[in-house]
Amino acid sequence: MKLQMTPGTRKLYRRTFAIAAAMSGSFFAVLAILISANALQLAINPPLESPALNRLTERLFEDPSDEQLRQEIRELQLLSRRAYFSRIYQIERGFYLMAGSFALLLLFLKGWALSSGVPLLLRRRGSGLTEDPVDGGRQGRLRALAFAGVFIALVALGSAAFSWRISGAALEAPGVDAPGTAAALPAGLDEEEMRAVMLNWPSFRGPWGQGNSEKTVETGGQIHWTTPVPKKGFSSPLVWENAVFLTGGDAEGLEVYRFDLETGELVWIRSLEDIFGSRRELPGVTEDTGYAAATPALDGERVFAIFASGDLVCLNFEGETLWMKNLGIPDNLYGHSSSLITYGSTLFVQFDHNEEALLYAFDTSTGEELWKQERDVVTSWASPVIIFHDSVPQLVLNADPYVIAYDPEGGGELWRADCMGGEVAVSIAWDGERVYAANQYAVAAAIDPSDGTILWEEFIDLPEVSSPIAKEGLLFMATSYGVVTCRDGATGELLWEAEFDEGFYSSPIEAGGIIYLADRGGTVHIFEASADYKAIGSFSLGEACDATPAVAGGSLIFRTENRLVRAGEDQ
Amino acid sequence: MESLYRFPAPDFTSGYQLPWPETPPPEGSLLFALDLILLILALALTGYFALHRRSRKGITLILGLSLLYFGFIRGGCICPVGSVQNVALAVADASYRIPVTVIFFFFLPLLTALFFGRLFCGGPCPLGAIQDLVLLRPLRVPGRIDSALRLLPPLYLGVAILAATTDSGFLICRFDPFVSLFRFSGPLYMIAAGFLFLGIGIFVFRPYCRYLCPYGVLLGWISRFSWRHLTLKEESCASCGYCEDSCPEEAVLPPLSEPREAKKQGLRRLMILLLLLPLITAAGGGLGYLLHRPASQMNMSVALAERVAREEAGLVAGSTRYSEAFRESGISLESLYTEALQVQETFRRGSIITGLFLGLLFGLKLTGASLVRRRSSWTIDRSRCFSCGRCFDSCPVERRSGASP
Repeated sequence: MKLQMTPGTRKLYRRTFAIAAAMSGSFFAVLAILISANALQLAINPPLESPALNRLTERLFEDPSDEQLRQEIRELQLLSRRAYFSRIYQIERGFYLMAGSFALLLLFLKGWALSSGVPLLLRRRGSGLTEDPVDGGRQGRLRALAFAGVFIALVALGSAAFSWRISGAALEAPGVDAPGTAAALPAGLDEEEMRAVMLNWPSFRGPWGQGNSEKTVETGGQIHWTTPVPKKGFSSPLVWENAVFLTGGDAEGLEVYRFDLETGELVWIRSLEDIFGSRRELPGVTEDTGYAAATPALDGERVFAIFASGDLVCLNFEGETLWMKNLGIPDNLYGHSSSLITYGSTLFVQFDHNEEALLYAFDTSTGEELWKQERDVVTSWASPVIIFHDSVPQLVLNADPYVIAYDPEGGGELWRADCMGGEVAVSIAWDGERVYAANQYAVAAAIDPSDGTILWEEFIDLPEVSSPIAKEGLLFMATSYGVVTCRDGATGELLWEAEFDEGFYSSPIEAGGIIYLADRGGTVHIFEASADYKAIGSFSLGEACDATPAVAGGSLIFRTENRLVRAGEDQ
Repeated sequence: MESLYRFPAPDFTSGYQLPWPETPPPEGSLLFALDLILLILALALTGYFALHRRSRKGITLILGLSLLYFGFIRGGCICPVGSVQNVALAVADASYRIPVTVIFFFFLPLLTALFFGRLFCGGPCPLGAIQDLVLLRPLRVPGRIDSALRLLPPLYLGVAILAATTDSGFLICRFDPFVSLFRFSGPLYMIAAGFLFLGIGIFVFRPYCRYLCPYGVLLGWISRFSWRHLTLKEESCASCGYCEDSCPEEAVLPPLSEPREAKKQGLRRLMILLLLLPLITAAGGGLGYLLHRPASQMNMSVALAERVAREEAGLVAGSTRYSEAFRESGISLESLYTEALQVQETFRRGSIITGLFLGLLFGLKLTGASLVRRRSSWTIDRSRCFSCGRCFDSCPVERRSGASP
């Protein structure tokens, strides 16, 4: 577009606009430099953090009664604040002037362009009006590949130059090492799998069945939500990310549940009748064991559940059946209650009953039986635990008369300790150094995991159902008549004992150096995992509780008689 | 600008009470309804001026009014460009309640593009408006540089969606170079970036729109299939090529000569690229996986955890105010690291998906460059054309027919 004017007029306009544009452009440039310098100075020498002010403040901390010093600080602070806000004001005003001068610059440049007759056209590229499509395509491909090459090279350089502190095996902050996590990765697990287990609650008593959690719990007893569980059971809740899993059963049916961690909403129910397509044959069980006493297991993608009927099922997290089998109805006086556990891609089933005692290993994805070990023990209601001794995994089972450790890979026996007796429902504990096994009317023993040597034995205040927990050389046990003891793991010496009104079936769990233990009346007792008894507090769940809680999202998930309860701070 | 309350209040002896900052009440829904109505109006008017009146002056008027209202009065927010992130977050996180207005802002320009091309870019977009109005003497960006820079918008789109869905912030909004100019406030580096883009924009047409705008990626894709896009006067073309010269976006494509390549050769090359497409896509996913840890540094929790871990291990001297604040908070290191690891896990999944997406786009670009096209006259590239109407004035046929007022 061109303005219609005489050459002389056009020249005059052109010159005027050029001068005006130069002036506004210079003004803009000067402002930009001044404001940048101001902001830079503010960043390098912030008035509010002047060394003089800091020195005076430190002197005031040493002598708070010095009124003259206090007055001096007030005056200096006032000057600092004035300087600070003065600079901010200058930057603010300068910015408005910059915007204005830039707008003027653009306006004058437009005027100059119009009066000069500068065409708003691109310079024609190449010669001729047409393009060669093949050549154009080749150039396009080459350019895209060149860009990709440069990008990948930059990524490779950048990644090589940056080393990461935050990774599962590389965390070296104090207190982060949890029992069972050695500096080297155990055989059969990669870093991701290890981290995933430690961050979730995938089996009875948490990661590896040891009862310890790397996480901390923030609870003053606030109940975040409660949800009715459709059928009763004594299995404990499990958590993987935002999903909570549980089982329940009665004479009418056996079921697997998934709940939402945030809301407590029941997401889905799967009944074994639907899974198998037929009504399940049920054995006789006692009321305090029921049909769903064994806690399921999770591996991040699947939930595995076993019931008193000997039915073993595998579902994905959406509730779809992946595989199922029946191990035969166990001849078990009270009802099967040994919980499941996974390690890598293997699911372990402790199946000790009157007719035979077996340890099964199944492939988690297909259910194929990998191996089976016959055990010369009697019926057991305890659950397998995985420990890591010198970075080597061991699968440790408690039963009468032996505590036996197996190699998870092939089922080979690693050691056995002949120390146990009675009806064993208590699982072992592990503190990174020693295995502890106990049972009421029998013994509490510490065992060397390198060869099964019994290090010490004690015979009083022993647990009947609640599995003990160990932390940094301290062993904590809870009895069914309300006594909680702490023993020195090295010697067995009793360090303290505490008595409560109700007995304990639920196993204690430890998180962040704090032990949480629910009694049969539904009161959760909180105390320090230390050599001196330090009670922190307690709160009520409102119902009886025999199952063991899970740690998830900074809170605890309890199964009470009829409900699932999340207790913790509002997240 | 720094808050007044970042340091302790002084000991006022006069009895003065320092007022506490208050959270302002949310904007009324009436204002959002007005925004929506004006957006619809602006889109409609741009379509009228571009497709019916073929008037560059009319489009310029819409640009000016959009810049004034959507830019300076509303401060550049809400805008469809940033709404991509809201929509992505709503898809990824069921607990996020996306405002209805944002949904409309996201979908309306896309719907318009499906029918009439990138009218949003031509008129209502304040970011495009400010750049369009500062253009003075357009220079042609060298082909190599132009091709390379045009790969940035889909990359930016992928990274922005990744950040939004992993709770790492809305990058598009944070790094919008013009919002600080609209609001006369913002971090100094963003103000400088705004002026830099405007300075470049005097000579390079709409640099942000062409080489960064992530929403433009979606508009470009959809515009390819538009029903009634802006066209040239092809039936009476004088073959002067002025339209190609007048388009600073280089969206007017010249005619093509007969290809000097056997059809069979071209087909073979195309088939090879199509077969390689899944591999290229997978390679993108692999690259995304490799980058998930660096990418996770976008997240404040991960960045903080890294910093704290380095301080704990003595790898860095001193501390930042963030690490100091963390230590004062009483939160355990375990909690921080656990949260960081969980976020990294989310990034792992997101980065793989982003990598697959970008790998697929890259593969399609290579494949597209292998298609031998045939053009006998000047045609508008629908994916690039901003419907700005600059080509109207340059066409001698239009001027003769008086179609361009």
